[in-house]
Amino acid sequence: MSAMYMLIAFSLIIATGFVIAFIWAIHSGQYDDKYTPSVRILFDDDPKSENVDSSKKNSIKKKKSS
Amino acid sequence: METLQKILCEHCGEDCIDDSIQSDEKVFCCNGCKAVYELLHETGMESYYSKDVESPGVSQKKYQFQDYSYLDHPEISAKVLDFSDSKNAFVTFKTPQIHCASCVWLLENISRINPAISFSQVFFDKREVTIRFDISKLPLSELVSLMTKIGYRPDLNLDKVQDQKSESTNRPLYLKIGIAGFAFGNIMLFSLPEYLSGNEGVDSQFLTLFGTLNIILALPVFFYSSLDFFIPAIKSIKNRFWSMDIAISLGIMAMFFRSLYEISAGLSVGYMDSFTMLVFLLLVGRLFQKKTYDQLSFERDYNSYFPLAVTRLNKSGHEESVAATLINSNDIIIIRNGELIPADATLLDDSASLDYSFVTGEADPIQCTKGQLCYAGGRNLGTSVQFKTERPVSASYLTRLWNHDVFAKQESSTIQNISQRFSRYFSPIILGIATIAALFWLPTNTSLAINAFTAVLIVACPCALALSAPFTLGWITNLLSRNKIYLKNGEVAEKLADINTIVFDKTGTLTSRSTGEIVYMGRELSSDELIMLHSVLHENTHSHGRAFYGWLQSTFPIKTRFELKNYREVIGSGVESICNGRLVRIGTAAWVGVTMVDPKSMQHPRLYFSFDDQIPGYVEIRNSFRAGVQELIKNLMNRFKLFVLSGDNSRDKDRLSTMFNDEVLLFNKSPEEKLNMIQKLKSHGYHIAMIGDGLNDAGALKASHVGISLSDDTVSFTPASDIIMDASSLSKLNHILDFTKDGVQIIYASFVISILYNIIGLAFAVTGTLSPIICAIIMPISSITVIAFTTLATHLSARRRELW
Repeated sequence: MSAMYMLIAFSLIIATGFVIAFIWAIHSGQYDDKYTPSVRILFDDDPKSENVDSSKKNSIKKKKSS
Repeated sequence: METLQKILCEHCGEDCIDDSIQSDEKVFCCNGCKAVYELLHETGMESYYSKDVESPGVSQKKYQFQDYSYLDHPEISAKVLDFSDSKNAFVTFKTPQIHCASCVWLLENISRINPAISFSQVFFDKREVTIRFDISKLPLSELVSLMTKIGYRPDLNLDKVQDQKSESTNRPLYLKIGIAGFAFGNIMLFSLPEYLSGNEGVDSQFLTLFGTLNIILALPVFFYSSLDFFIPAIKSIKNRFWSMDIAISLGIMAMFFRSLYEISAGLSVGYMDSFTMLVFLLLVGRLFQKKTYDQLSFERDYNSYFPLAVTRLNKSGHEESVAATLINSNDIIIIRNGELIPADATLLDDSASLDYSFVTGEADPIQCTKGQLCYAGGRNLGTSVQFKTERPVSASYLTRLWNHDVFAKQESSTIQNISQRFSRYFSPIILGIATIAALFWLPTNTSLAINAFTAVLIVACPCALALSAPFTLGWITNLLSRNKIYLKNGEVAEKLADINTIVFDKTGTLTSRSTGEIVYMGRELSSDELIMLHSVLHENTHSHGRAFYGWLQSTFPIKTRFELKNYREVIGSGVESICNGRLVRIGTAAWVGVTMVDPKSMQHPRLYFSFDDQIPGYVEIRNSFRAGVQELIKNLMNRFKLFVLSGDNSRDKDRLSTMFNDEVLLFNKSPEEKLNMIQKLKSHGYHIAMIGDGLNDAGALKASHVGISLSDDTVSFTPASDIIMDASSLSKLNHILDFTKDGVQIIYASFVISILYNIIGLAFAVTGTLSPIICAIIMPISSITVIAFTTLATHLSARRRELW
């Protein structure tokens, strides 16, 4: 049964880690704006924007305007 | 005749009157939209149009060019900028036009249009954009003009320089919920072994371990998360008032301390699971009710309406831009076409045409003559004119309204909501039962007496009860917002259910501010004459001219047009041009040469026109009632007392008296009289909802029990109120009132449900046999029943009232 002590300790450590992550997320403002990031992630980088933002060139697709 | 096909603007998606404004074979409704398109096209940013929705832009029809140079004045820019050093500057603009993903994309890529901008971030919920830019390369004024050019004109009003950033985030509440939820989940796990172990019980060593861990986990919940109940409870004790928070706090403390005792005595693992779950659920209820609309402001006053700066002539006769707050009496100011007069002032030029419809409710422009005192808030419809200010902004006729008592006092807490009324009886009764149970057992068994006392407090802790109102009101707020009706908070819904009197404003509320009904009076027109009118009006930008043109287009669709010579437009009077060899004039009576008409006798604004001084007739532009208003009034008539309080003259009396009784129609009311009228009605015991839209209703909106401000688009200014309603929802008013009445019934019904659970629990409690497991079962079942019931009932009611 002594394995239980260890398991309980582990489970609490992990759970506490999540709480700390949650507190950090709140303080860094991630819960202040719940809409914009969901939109932002969907933008494709346009081919012309290379000089502006060269670090995010992985998805270069351009939608055809209809 | 050609069939008319609707042409939609490429930029904003609004109807185009015709296809005359084109670029790249794309059609636009106005030159503003075309300009935005061309700018984006040049800078290679057309993908704006393929991001989210078709035609993502905002119509540019209403916008006029403005001079923003005043923003570079250090005094003003210091207040507008969040931060700046010699190179970098941060600024946060409120841009209410943000409405879709394309907006976010364009504003966050604004740096590609002008490289001096290094960073921009949109905060969608607040309709804000934060921009970092190099102020030495790009002055603030140019940044604002750039934003205006791409169709996102920032809100720059007087309040920008006067406040106060009131940050109201839910951060602390999220933290409290997170911690309570964490503790609740883990404590539940440690408590389960005891519940499941049956009669033998858990190993004593584990019992101590689990108990200790439970205490450690419950500590932050007790000392941090529960503060939301303790603090209001202490406040209400100070005010000698039985609030729900007292009952909750007593329950929390009873649970916590009894658990401490039972764990340390080695009796059980305690009630910590019930305790943390209770706090968690109650906090979730609070969050649910606290739905806020960041993009709307319910607290605006005249500062948000008046401009940030005005043009002043300084002593040496030069024009300079100064902050409106710095205007003193006897300054000479210049008000251009479309600008507002910021303070009471006398006219120095010969005449001016001012639009006061938003400020006083008068629908027609006021003609002022030299030397006349003009009140603040009028919008100049003519060419630029000079004024001499008489008073500073804050002492003007209109702004004095805000010195009235109703604006000084905070939301009165004397009005009790349902939960408060209920808990006034609930809390003392529970304490009474607990005491009686304790006294009953005291002679025979002291520990049983203490057990019974705490058990009653634990079981009776009004968890389900306290969840009824937040969840019902939260759902009401939520469902109404889908109908574009935005409540300041949940309690407004409760107040709305008590309403028995409704007071309407006329201009802009019952009548629509823009679309007029056009009636032509005069002889029949030949087709040549129609083409001439078409051709001349096509160039015209005045709102009446546009309305006339739109009406002509829909009644006499003509494609051909004559060439115009010597086209001339005189703002405030009309237009003239030589067309088809004849002199065509369109405009006011005086412009075409009609002298017999006394402007006062006119019921509605008229537009005269003449061909070579021969006048075939005129068109009348009538304010039309908003759609569904007549139906609505008929529905409300029998159940509510209705009043109309108008700042306008009584010209619409005939039309209104077909809907209302004559004695409730009140005209020519000043903003202050409106306020006093509401207070008088209030003292007679009426429960009033005031529906208005303009600044002149601000006092009345504030004084009434529920102030509802109507808005054609949620972008534009609304005075401080409890509810902001989209004008299209006005016709649903009777359903809304019924819905809130249903809501109150639902709250009462769920009170009954939770009391039933309480009675079951109390039966265990008074005998002193409440075990942690019974507590852990009753508490969540009762809460979940109440949450499910309120959710279902509000949705059913909304369906019945055609709101969902």
